[in-house]
Amino acid sequence: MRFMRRGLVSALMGLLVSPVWASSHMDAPLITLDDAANTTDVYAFVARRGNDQFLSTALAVYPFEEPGIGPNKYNFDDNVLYEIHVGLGEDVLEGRATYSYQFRFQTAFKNRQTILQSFLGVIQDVDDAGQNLTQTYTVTRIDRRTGGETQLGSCVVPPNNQGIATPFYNQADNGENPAKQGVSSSLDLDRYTAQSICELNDGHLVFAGQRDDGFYADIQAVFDLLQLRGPDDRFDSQGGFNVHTIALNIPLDELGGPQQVAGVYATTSRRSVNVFPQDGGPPELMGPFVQVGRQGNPLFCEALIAIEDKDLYNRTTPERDQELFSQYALNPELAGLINAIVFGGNGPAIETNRTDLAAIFIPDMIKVDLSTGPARLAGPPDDEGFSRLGVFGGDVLVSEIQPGFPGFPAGTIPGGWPNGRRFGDDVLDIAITAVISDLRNDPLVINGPAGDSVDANDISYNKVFPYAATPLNGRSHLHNGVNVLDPVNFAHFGNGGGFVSDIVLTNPSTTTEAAGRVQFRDQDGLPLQVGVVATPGIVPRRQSDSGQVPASSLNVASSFDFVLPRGGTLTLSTDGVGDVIAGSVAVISDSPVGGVLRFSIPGIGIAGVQPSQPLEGFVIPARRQDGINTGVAINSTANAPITLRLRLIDEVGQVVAQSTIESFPAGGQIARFIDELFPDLEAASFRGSMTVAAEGGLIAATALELGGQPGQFTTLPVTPLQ
Amino acid sequence: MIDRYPILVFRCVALGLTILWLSGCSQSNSDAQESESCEIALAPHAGQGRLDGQIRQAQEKASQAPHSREHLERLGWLYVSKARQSYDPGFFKLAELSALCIDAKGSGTTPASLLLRGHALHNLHRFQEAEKLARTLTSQRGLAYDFGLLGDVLMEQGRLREAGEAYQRMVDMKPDLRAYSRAAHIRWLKGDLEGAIALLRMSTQAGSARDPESVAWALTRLATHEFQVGATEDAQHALARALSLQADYAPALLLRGRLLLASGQAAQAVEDLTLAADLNPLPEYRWVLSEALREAGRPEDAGAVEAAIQSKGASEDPRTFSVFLATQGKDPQTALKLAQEELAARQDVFTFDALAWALRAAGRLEDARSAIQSALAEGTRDARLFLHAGAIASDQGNRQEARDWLGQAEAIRHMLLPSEKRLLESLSTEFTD
Repeated sequence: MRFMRRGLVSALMGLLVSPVWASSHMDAPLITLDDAANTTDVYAFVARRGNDQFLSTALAVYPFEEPGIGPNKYNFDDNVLYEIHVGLGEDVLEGRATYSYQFRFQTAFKNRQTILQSFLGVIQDVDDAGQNLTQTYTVTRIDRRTGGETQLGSCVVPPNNQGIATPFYNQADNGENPAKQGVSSSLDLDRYTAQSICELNDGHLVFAGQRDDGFYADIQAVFDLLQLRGPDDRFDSQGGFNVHTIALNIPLDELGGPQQVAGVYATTSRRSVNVFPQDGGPPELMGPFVQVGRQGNPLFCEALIAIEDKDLYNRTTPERDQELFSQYALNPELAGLINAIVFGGNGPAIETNRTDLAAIFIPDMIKVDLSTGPARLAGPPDDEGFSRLGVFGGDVLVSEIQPGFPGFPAGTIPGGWPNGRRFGDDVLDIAITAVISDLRNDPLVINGPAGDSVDANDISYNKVFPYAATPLNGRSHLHNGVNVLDPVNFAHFGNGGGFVSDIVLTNPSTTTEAAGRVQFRDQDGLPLQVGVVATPGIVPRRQSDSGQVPASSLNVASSFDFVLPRGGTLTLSTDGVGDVIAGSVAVISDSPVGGVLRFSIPGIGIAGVQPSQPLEGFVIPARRQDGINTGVAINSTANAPITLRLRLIDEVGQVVAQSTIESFPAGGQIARFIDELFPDLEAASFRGSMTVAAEGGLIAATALELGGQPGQFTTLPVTPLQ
Repeated sequence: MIDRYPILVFRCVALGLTILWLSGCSQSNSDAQESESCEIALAPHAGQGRLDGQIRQAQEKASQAPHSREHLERLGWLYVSKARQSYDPGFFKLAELSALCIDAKGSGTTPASLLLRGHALHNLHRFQEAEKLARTLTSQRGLAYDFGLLGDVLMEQGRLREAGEAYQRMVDMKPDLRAYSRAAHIRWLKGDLEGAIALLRMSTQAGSARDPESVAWALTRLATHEFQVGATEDAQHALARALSLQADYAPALLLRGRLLLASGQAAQAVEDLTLAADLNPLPEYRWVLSEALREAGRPEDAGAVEAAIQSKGASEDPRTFSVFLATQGKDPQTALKLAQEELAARQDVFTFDALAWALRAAGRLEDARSAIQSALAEGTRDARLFLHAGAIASDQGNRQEARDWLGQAEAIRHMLLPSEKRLLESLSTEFTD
């Protein structure tokens, strides 16, 4: 036995890495370390755009893509063949593709003589001079029945969301801010996304680029012996990560119309190569493409197929699913594990002959009934009737070609997965509920719904193509946080001229630190520089600085990072100097925090401003009487301008005054008394209520009553409009 | 025998299991008692790094039924990672013992334990033992990694055609970073440098941020080949990427130091090379450092480094030490003995080269010619190989042959160390008339 020239041998052998321990997005040992070819999710649902209906499909790759890395950013791989396959008619039953849509990427640099690989400056428009690395791609349709190839067109990939370099992905077009929430109009899409949506030949619509990972679930707990956490300890394993997504809208006409069920799956392939140079000629390197990744329904490979067959799954097509993998759907190990671990050995999950599950997963294509019309979409706000739980939440569609569930009106089928899969479908909860239920017979036996307590994505989806949510900002994102979606909003703060605001944050957890950020905005929704003194012992970090600043010293910035120890409290006090300024405060964090904003007016008193959840509208008690005046502060949490409709209603329910505020800015804030809001109000005194309804987005709010004497000062609760 | 395994002995002492360990080290591992394997593999691990914590966690889980085999497998691969991270091959031994422990926990070998053990044995230079395991795996299971292991052990034994066939099976089954890298290595050995570069570029793109060391390694190999073809800026970019993925990555630092040395920046090269040699104090690293120190006008420091090579080289890397001795003209008999012993285990291009160079140093020119022809047979384009071939031909008076080989060495002379360049110039002078 000898030691060796370790460099050489270990070089090769170190690359023989270990088999991997599977989790969602890390589904099979041999693909887990090939991020660019590692599929995370496939989506397929019926969508409408104008008067046209589409089968909207999407393929995501690159699990756990950390936003904002460098110098090498995540890209589609030029050497990978990405394919979305659609089966029609008999091909669905047989697990065959009828059409395959192929995506091939090419990468180019504007300047190779720099270390700035991706960004040379702030990118104003996609592929402008500031974007050093640009990927383009071609889309080709293959008709598997004839072998015919059709070039559908080519398009460009937008930049990744780095932060300062890519401001238009982010709230208020500011690279310091978190990514923009979803929108319901194409006109409101961020600039880069809008510029990268391509209309191809034959009416296809395509997008390829970085997106938020739309999958949400506590995968850690699932694969930690199914020890699911409760609602107070939610953990989104994919929270804070991006993926790379290809979205393709396929006109239903191309597929033969809506009166059918389509089957959708996706694959990734890499080229084999010739190990030996060819004798006597130029060395021919490239061999044929070899399939290395496959995905259809969510969770099939991750949660049902045994480790020893996961790689086989990735190498094969759905045509062989019946032969190779049907036992995993018919007799799911997961059912036994749920019974044993979650229910202590006495669970309801049927462990054998699960023909209901086999119908979903075998062959492993997402089956989409095209006759239903468009699916309901998640977004801001969700379509009426949308449920993340799909059929288990009452979200159903009516098929014109299938009989539907027994015991329900004719044609009743799921509104989401497993009839298609939409962004926002809580596939883990749906899967667990399905496993513990029995959908084989009439009547259906439905237990649950059950799940992992993670009920929402970390950022809202778009309700327009490409549907996937905005990529998270490399400069401003949180992992596993539930509060990115629901920040703690204080609709009003003031500072200067003696006005002081104390933002008091508490960490209710005795087991987990809370890390987050306090952001100040002005009344136009833009970052607002504020002088702040921090609690001694707690060290905030200025967003604009890389280092920490001493406790109890004055810092001026528009946002402050913080870490709250378990059970800890943090107070940020504005300095009270200078001209009076007002605006709003948002607190985002990676675990829940409580808070109050103490607002003090010189000579009057102190009142506590409660955090407000985003609302579509609210009502408050209102009066103007004996020197007492009611005021309201409204803060838009929307990414685009909204309209506010205000009404003053007397004690018998009669509207006595109305007012409309158009084009209220994204993130904007307004604080007014009722006599300012309703200048035409004729009555000298008024008692009743005031309602505010928002159109185009959500708002946070707080209210107060102010008298002319010390102590005549209190905040009022706001009640959501019904 | 024990003096050959200083790092392993050190590890044994650290584990407090010296007697048991020495027993295992001095015998065939098939003799090791399986229960003893578990005891050693699960002996409490020290260290403060993230990987150390993962090892302790895996040890804890592996100690508990009923999932111990799965956790032992994980533990074994963590030891492999630790070996690569720390450059301490003692951890390969622990990986092997983890595999034996898996078998002890069950009723015999499993594919998982065979792959892990085969990997460890290969890294411990027990190629023939590893080949048996690899052949069992390929015949009984036949996954891509099984063919990768088989190709690796065949390549080290100089059976390049068979190795290439195994790699072809691997890449046809699962083209990825590992398969592309292996194909690139074969291409390079066969003299197709451009093909190797293209494959390594594909390899680096097929990696993952969760496995930065593998990507860093592929980038370093890519940089080596780019350096050879004169694409120095591309090589520097690749090295910068490697070091951004894996800070203080010794192979990348070594190559960056060599780039600096080749461009006449010896003082700057010393910085990188000193760090590289501290991280991985093998003769290959120290030799380059000593040459850089001499070029930088620090002969005393260079002498100290050479003394370290002299004292530990034979046990740490006998093949490189043999080449070092022969190049320095020191102790040719030791150089020859080490090369011959190496050849018993490895019959690859570079072992034949080392043997040829040692035979020349020992004055056995006919044998040297035979050995260097074996080394050159695959068509490998390597500056040192060409230099050695030219020197042997020159010594034998084969002027045309010498001129040809030295000319090829001259074309890529930037790949040579300063002392080798001087030798090249000296030999070439003889043929300038």
